Amino acid sequence: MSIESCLNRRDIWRGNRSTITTRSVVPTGFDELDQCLPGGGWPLGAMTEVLVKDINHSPLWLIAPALSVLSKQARWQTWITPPHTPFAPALNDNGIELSRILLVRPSRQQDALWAAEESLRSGGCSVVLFWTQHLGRTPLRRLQLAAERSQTWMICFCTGPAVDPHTSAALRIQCQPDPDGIQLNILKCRGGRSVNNLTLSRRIPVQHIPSDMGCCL
Amino acid sequence: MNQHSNTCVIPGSPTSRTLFAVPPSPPQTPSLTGPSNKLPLWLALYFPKLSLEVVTSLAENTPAVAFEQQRQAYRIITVNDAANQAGIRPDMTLATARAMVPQLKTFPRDQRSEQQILEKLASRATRWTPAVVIREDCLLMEIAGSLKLYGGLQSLLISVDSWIQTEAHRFQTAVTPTPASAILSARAGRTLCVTDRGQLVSHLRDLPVGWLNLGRRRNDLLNRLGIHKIGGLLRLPRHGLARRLNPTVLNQLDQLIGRTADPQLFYTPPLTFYEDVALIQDVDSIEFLLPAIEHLLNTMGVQLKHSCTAANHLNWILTDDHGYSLDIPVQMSCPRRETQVFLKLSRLAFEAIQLKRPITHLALKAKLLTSIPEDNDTLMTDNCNFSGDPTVLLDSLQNRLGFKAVQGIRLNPDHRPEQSWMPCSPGELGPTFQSSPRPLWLLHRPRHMDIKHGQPCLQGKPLLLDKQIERISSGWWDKKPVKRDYYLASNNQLRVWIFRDLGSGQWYLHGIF
Repeated sequence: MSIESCLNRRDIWRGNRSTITTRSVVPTGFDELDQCLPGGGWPLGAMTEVLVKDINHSPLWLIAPALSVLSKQARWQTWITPPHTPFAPALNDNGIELSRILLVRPSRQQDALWAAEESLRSGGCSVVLFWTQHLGRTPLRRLQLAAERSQTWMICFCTGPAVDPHTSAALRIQCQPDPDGIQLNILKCRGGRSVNNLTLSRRIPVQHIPSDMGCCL
Repeated sequence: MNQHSNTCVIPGSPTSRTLFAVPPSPPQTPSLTGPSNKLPLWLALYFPKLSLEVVTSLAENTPAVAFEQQRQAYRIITVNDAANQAGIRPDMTLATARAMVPQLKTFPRDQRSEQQILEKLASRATRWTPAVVIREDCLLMEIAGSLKLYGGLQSLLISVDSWIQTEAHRFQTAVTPTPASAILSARAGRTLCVTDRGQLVSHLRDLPVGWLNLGRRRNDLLNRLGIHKIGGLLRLPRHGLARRLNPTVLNQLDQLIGRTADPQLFYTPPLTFYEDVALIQDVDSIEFLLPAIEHLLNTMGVQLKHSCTAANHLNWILTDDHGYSLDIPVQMSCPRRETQVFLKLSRLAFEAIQLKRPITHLALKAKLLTSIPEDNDTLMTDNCNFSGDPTVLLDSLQNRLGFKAVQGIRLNPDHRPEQSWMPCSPGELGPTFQSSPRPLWLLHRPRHMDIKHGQPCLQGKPLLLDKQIERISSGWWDKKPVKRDYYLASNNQLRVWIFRDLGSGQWYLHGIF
């Protein structure tokens, strides 16, 4: 038995390269981050958990390029219980199609969880964004399973410290604010490696040119 | 053929033959493959026990009758089999019948319900032909145009038969080339199937005159004349018949055998759906309603399919016997006709409801839409092949969470940040325009900031302000005036959008980048 045949076994995982490369992803828009993530982008059909210090300061600019790419699809982008109003002029400047956005603000937490699961199961969403102070182990697992059965990017913003160290999410990222942008720790990454202290600088959005003006240029 | 109806005809005269006599045709069995020409063919459905069936569901072994008031007397309209065996016949007075059978169950006739049942049956019958007529207590269907579609008369009759069996009404049918003769044969209980107009008279000839509904006085007169069968009536000279009975009787006879036109007014099903079920026992929990909900939706699905309509709004009405009523609306973003989607959305709408008291009736009401916007689909699907229908998700969320909890956003051309966007119905396209750099988060309402050493502070830390100032001064016309100097500011953690209110001089946090 050669070493190569040993390494080609399915149950052997080599840490130096991403094993899952066929999974569909959406580019993050940040080259440094793309390189750290298996497949080169945010994983579709899986849950991404973003831990932030304060849920009111969720870094929307981090995911705006990906939202812009996904808004080309004729499916909803469901925003469930966002902490503030997503500001339409800025979203438009970032190239996000506003008519795809569904703002869902249920009055109860269990309705919010239901809305998230329903959005994932229906297949009618390209992305589901969910803000919650705390997500228990069971709801997290349910949402991850629902996401796996869809072609939807599930992203959940939770607050950091009180979080369960074990997660069933495919990707878990911790964010720390930085004067120039953000410092990321990739705590868990299915099919990739964890990365510490990755610094991303804030990017001024490329001015989005409406399609009806494009021909004049 | 268009003879003057008052022509004087002398029987036996060599110059004119009896007008109603039809030249004997060579004997042949009625063809079941349908007429070769496009002459109409009428199928009549008669429900002999309908007036009893709508008022009671008693077992057949209890003698029961339905009656109505005719002049001074209550007369019997319909009898069931048990009452018939006891010797009670229609047209008897109620007093006589009660004398004959003291334990007789009697029910006053409910013509409104009968009419409703007939209309319901008529709207279901439109699946075989658009030409459906409600005439007195019969349904008439013109089926000549549907023969080819259903593979001939035989198979059409079989499918109509199997439908009407499921409707749980006693029925009698007949197929003839004229509407009047079809009704007559169906009423008389003759299961006629005549497709050739030439053979019609020979089949009608031995039916009793009584079925023509000429009225008691004329029936008595004909009895005295010794005329008991329609054949006998047809042999009478027209002139005398018109004089002794009435010219309208001649017209009736002409229409019977197709000598004069007998135009019919077709039934148009209303563009609404309404159906209710009485629950067997009081229901105080939504789960027990599910079978009834499913039944009503299936019934509606059949009607939507056959009338090529769709619905975008359902209304469930839950009532009890004491006047309590609860409406549960189900709204959809686009017209639909899939029963499964209706069921799913209805379940979601019912889940949000708590029943305060047990209910006894469940009804479903819907307005039907004829114009359904249908998209063309590509033959070759592109690689973005998604299983779900985005509109189903929207409808599910809205029906479970309420319409206010699920919204879209759009731009609004206004300089004031609060007014530069607005909530809208999901999927609505607003205007697009460029703006100065704006934060991705806008606070629901500007938050007052503390000042330390003359500088605004966020979480106790002073903010560094960019030199660039944007002054927004607008809205004097609508009582929400804004006079602010906006700054981009940052500390070592956040980049924010703050403003100084020029009126009060206070600092506020308004957005987060």
